[in-house]
Amino acid sequence: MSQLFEFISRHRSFILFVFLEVLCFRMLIGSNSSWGVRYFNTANWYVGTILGFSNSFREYLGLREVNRQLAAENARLNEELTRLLQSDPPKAPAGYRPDSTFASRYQFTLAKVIDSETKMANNFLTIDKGTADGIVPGMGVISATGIVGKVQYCSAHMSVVTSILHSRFMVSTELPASDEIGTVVWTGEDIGEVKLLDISRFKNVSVGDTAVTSRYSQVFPPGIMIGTVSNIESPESETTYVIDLKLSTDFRNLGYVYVIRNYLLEDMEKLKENSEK
Amino acid sequence: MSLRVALFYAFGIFICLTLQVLLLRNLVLFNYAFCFLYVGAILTLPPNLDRSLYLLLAFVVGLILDTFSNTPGLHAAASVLVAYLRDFWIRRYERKAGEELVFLTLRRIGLFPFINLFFPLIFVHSAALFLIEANSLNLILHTGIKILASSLYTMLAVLLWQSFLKY
Repeated sequence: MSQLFEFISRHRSFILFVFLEVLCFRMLIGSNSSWGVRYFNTANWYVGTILGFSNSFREYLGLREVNRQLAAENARLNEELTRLLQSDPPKAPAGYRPDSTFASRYQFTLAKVIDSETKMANNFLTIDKGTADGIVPGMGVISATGIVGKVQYCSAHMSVVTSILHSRFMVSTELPASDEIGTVVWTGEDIGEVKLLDISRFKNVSVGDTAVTSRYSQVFPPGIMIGTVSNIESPESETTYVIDLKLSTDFRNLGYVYVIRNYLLEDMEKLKENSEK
Repeated sequence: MSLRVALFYAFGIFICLTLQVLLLRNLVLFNYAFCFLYVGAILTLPPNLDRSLYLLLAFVVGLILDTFSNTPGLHAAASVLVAYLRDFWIRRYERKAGEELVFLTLRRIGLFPFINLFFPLIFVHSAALFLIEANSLNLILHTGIKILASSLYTMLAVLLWQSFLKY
């Protein structure tokens, strides 16, 4: 008996080694050791907390990719929303049934702003998509917060966009609250403000009303946010207001924008040309 | 072993485990090279430590790693194996070199003896780990590349870690 204990004592580390290895393989094979299943995996509260902490860092590093995915998803949702709104306009009379080609005439392409100028009298943006992605001059550009501008020049992989902060940029604008349509121009003073002209003095306009793109705009789908009314002047000698709009888009930190392609734009322009002859 | 030395090693193990869990688990190079820094922490524990205690320590450290990677027993098996082999290996080394090793840090034993001493053990660890994980010899070439790349990577990481230590 004493020899046995002596043997165990002499070889205790070997016995422990074999025991531990057997234990490990029992756990590896799994099912038999319930305590192993219960405690030694990532469902453990402590382990989960630490992994969550580690993951929060990784989330931060992954924000760029997440942003891109969200922007792409937004482009898809915007397109869908415009198509649905166009195929069943909320204000239309009951009998109106638009053509499906007409309803789905807008296509949204995601682009990233790589340069944005705001300090000049005529401001431009540069985006990272060009003719290779189907972008041509004349297309409208919007962002998640509202209207941005219109494509001016294109190379194969870049485009220059005239922003709304450009002296010759005009866009047909609607005030849904007073049901009036006017034109927005930029006076070149403040990059957060544009002027809305041609709104009749006999309509009711109040500070805080939203201004959106009108249904007469060829380039933009109706209802894209432009800004909110911040100041109303009514000169005695005129029949229209001079309204200051606070732009909803901050041009100093634009990230992703959506370029809008109107499939029927060419057709419309051709029709107009013909009717003018 | 004084408290100071014990704390030094405990802190080393803690640092290695933290790095392993939070950082190195995600730093896999080319899908082949995995870094197992914690094995360095196990291997460089002082050789005069009680062998049974040492095996248990290796088991616990391996098990903690396993808990984080949902592979119960895998890391533990590999680290218990190298922990068991280490003593024979160190004794063989001591016989050949004719000197007794007390501290197994890079500064005490020098770069080439350090690599000489630890690379085979790290290699055995990686080999055991990946062979147990593969559980067959089907993808032996793939596993072989993984073993070699991981042991080199781990060796580099251990050297880097050791060069930050004061002793």
